Amino acid sequence: MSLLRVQGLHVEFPGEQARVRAASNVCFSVDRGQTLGVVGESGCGKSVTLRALCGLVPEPGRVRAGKVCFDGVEYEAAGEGLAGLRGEKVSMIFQDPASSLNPVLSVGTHLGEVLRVKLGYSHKAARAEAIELLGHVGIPDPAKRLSSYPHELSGGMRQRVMIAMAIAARPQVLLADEPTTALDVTTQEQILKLLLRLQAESGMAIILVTHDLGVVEEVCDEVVVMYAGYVVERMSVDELAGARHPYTRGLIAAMPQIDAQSMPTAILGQPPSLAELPPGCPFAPRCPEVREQCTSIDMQSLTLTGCACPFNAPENQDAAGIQHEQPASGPNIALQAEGSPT
Amino acid sequence: MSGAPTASVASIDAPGEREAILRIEHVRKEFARRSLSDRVRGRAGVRTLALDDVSLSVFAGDAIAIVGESGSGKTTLAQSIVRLVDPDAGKIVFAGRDIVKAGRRDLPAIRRRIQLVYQDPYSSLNSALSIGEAIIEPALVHGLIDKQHARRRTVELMDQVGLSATIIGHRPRALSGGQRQRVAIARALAAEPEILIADEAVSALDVSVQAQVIRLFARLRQELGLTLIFVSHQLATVAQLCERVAIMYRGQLVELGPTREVFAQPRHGYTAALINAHPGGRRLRARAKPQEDTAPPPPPPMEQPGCPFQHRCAFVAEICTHTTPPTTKINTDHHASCHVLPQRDDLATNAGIHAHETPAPQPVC
Repeated sequence: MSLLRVQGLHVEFPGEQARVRAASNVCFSVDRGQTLGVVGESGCGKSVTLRALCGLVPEPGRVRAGKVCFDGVEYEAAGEGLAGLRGEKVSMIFQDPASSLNPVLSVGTHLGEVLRVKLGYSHKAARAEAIELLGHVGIPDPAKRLSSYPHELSGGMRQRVMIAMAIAARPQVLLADEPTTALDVTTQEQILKLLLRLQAESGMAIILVTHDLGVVEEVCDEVVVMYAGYVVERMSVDELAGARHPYTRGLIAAMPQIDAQSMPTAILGQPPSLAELPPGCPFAPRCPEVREQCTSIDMQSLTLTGCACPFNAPENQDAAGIQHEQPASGPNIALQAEGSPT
Repeated sequence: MSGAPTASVASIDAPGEREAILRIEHVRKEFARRSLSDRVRGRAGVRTLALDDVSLSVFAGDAIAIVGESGSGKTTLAQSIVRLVDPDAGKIVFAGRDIVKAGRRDLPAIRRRIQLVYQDPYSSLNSALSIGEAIIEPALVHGLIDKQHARRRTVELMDQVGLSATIIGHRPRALSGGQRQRVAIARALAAEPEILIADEAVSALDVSVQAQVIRLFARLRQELGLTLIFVSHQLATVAQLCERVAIMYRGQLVELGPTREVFAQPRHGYTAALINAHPGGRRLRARAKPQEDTAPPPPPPMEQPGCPFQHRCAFVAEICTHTTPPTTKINTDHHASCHVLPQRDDLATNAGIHAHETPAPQPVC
């Protein structure tokens, strides 16, 4: 059984004309000790999905439907249902460590707050634990660093402080929203190594949002690809090279290669506005393989085994691409649409 | 700081007999910052040597990349070329004149001919101007066009960068990141420059949009014969677009050569570390060694003798700690400032290069 299973998650924001569906029918799961990569362009619902998992969807957005099964216990995702997961179960780190730390508080105050308020440590115990945590995330001379302020730290060090805060409660799932995007390539490598070590030591699961398929290849076991709020494909990282969905293939072709002889190929057009999604497959307007039937695919009721594109689906899906049986829950990711929410 | 009088990398670079459109010679720039608390406590401020004796020639029609971590001085170098930063010493020769010494009267003409495109298209455009106004403004300012013909020229420029003329009256906020960057490029082209400097111009964009903008740069270069200086920390992007690459570390130019050769066979420890850290193609998991993820110790002061990369280098030798490495010519147009000059075989056996962070500026006393 997987540690965390998300089923039919819907997140919405009220818009001027219509509701903006930031995440639609999102399903995935992750096992203990595994890393799940979530990829897609900006505005595809990656971050909002992650935020929903710890009850941090920014106002005025809200989780409208969905179920989250955590370690065998089912939680209703709608409303404030998932805020209770935050802390010991699920914890999150963000892209920009410079803006997620309070500039007027020292590193020690940041960590102390988490330890005392959330975990009930005494002042003295919190200090000792903070030093322990900073050392654990590879910060040299941790006792001295407690009195440092965020501006005195480099980008990589700030991200380490964020990670120390996130793992203070020993979460079982770490949600990482583009944790290395703002960092240099050499610093990125260290932070990824740090996450892998922490994972190996504690067996926590990591859900990593990134737009860098190179990073996915380095650290992830499984990948889900999101487009316009929908999960359009999921696969193990080894299958990435043989991705089926035209969007995933487009992303791969757009990646510049350090040793490539040719220019990367862009995906034409822009992702659609989430307030006015085209009918059927949301990728149809940009898809190089678009057919007439694409506008009538019902994304809400598709039950898919790996690829949301019926014309590029694996053989075990029928001609219409709609599989009527529930696929067996694999050990890693089960991606099952649970039908439209009410 | 690089006390020893060594020939720096690019004073000797001259692939063939090509004409250099821009010659950067021994440029130095130091930033000093003395905060209020420094003043109160009577401490000297923080000094950062952003450019340390940098020399580099750019050839007409060339695309050259300047690569390095944040804090390596690459943006300072780009900004020195258009004098947004005033270098402390050295020469930047363009069209027979020294930009470093150019006076207030000469600067507008130089800046028209060398245009800069910035990283963040969200903050580099004036939100009060429409797309059309923003694009044509430089042409009007420099008197390249009169008002009657402005609209036709605007549409022409928009077409050149692949923007539909229907958005001419839109404000920047209605545009996506990729479209905004196209506006910024069209605006630069309006000044009819000879050199286009792109400072991390694709870093803030999504990978699919990045590919569009990279292709746009390549096409403009071909169509307009532009010289391109591409400042980036993304090795893969650079590999697509630029024939030559200059690698910077802590204000120094450490390696310079043809992109393909430098990436396939780096001859400086820092270049090797950069390429090694580039994600993709291999599994970190398989290589990760315990404690290799520890943050680096505080960096040494900038005045420390020897190679600036000695504390992080996997190939460090005794000589690196006290002698500034000379610039070695590897072949006609490939140079590296390294005592060791690692070979391909060394790189393979040194998989665990110490990929430390760029040090923060250090107090000098």
